Amino acid sequence: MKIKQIVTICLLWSLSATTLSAAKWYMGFMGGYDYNAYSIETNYAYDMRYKGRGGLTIGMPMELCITQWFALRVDVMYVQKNHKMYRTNAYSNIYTNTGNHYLHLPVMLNFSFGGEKLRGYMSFGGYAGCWLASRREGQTIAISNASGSEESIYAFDEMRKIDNAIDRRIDSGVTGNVGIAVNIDERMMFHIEAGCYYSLLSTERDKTLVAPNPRYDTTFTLQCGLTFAVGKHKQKRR
Amino acid sequence: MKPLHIIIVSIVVAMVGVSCRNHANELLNPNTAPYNTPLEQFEVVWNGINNGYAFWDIDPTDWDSVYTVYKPRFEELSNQASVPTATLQNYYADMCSRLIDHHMAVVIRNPKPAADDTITTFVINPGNSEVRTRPYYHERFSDSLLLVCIDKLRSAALVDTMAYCNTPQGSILACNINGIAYLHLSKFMLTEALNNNDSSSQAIAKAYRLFYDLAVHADTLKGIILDQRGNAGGYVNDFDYVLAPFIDKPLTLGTTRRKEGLARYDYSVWIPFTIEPAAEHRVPDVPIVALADINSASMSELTTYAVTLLPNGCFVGERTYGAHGPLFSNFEINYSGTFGDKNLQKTLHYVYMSNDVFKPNDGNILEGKGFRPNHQVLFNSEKMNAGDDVQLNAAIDIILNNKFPTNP
Repeated sequence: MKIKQIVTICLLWSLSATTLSAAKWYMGFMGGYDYNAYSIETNYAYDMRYKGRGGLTIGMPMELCITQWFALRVDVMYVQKNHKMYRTNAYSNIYTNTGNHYLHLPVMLNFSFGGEKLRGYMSFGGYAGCWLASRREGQTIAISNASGSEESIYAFDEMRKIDNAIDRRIDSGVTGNVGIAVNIDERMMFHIEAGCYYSLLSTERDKTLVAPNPRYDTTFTLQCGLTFAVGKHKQKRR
Repeated sequence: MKPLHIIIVSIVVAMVGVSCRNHANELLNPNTAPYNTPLEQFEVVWNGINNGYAFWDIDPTDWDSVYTVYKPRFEELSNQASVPTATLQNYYADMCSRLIDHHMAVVIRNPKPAADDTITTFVINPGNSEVRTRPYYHERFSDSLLLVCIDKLRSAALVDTMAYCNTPQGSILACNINGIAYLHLSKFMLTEALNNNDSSSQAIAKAYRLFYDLAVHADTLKGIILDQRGNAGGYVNDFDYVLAPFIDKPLTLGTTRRKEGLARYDYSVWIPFTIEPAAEHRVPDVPIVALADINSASMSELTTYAVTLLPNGCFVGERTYGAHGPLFSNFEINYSGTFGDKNLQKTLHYVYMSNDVFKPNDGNILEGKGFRPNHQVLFNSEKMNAGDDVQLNAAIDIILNNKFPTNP
């Protein structure tokens, strides 16, 4: 239900924005690679490690240019936030690759500088997100009488049910980008940018009030894409 | 706005963001954590259970409330010169009273005992306390009582061959009851015994061989009785000897889910729990009856349940103990389950508990509840003392008179 609401709001917002102020709006698409650094405290579990994994990000940036150097930017992004749990030492055959799928709605202030053809820009702000789905794949130890041992390896690859009582579906944090925009023609721009989503909400609800073990995602993105001036008027960007 | 201003603002925003993240408490390894006071001991035990207990998402205990209620009490105890062990015992008993893990045992040595305390160590066993409240509860009957009943059958010429031994590893009774292969184990130690050569292991192996030859090789087999009564569990590998010889394809009992990692709700995936058939097997076309009672726990319950999954299997007796979660001997496999020093030397605590939750094929987790029999026959102490084992007799009756329960 929440996902549908967010998608509906985004579509209505983009539609109304396009209609209201066509000449000042830029919309487009971007996509690229992301790397998610997962932050969790493992305390005395010395050989239980977590590391980030790469993923995919794709979405639709929308920008309202207010002055030549300042714009308001809102994106609707699909972001993969993947990580890996693995063991070292005796249990190095145990690991779990977790793939999390998020929808992000970053709202940023965009500052640009440079010439007409080539402009640098920097944007920062906050984002709200929604955890759509999760999948995990890996190996663990199964209990079995097979091979004369009580332990055998079990490989798995399955969707992980997001438990609303334990997992936090809503995500939010701060975000920022630095990038370069190339004016291809009066209506079209090519962007290449690096960004970061720094989550401020643990992916697990802090139900364990006495001993919380929060875990956070920090997702770095490297993406490129095109944006187009929306509306009938021809207007030079910035 | 100049780019420098933008960068400064960005850095400030980023720093504010970084400072907004929470951090986990620093935890000590419950296997090695040093402490001197009841409060420190409570912290270690509470956190050890908090991080290693497999059932939090289905357990009725509010473990955080336990902390907030008991921390001040332990603080108070720690301020005293000495602590009565009875007080400590009452606190731990109350803290753990509703935990459903029926394997659980919390062993505590008082770190500040009073001078007149004659007993400074105690064991809290929430599962055992719960089981004792059941209306059909009875103590485990002795082997000698069972042997009297078997002797009575033998005097009626119903038992011809029999082997029994009682060793430090456990006891085993195997016999041929009118064409029925019967096996009773006090615990599952066959894996250990059959791979050793000491005298007690040889005696166990001899008794087991009698059962095996009857069940797998005898031409006149009428049925099999696997008597799990009073069996407190043991090696999962014993499936190789008590069930694997009677199946010709893998038998999936259900799934297990492991407590994995140091947060309360970090769990593994659900992992199939499968018994592989033995290399030499015989799928009997005669009934296989599992006898179990309230004192059948852990591996004996799983064996009983496995028998009910066989097309010709049924369970006779009483609702079982309810300790289904498997255990690993090594804490570091998943940093969950049993922790502390069993001998109370390195630590003054020892907490024995499951690593996994077991979910039977029907999806109904029965930890703390136990499996219900297909055919209920309650233990009758008076008749047992008189040499009549009503539960065993019911199992024999089902096999010999073809009274297989219709709803196994």
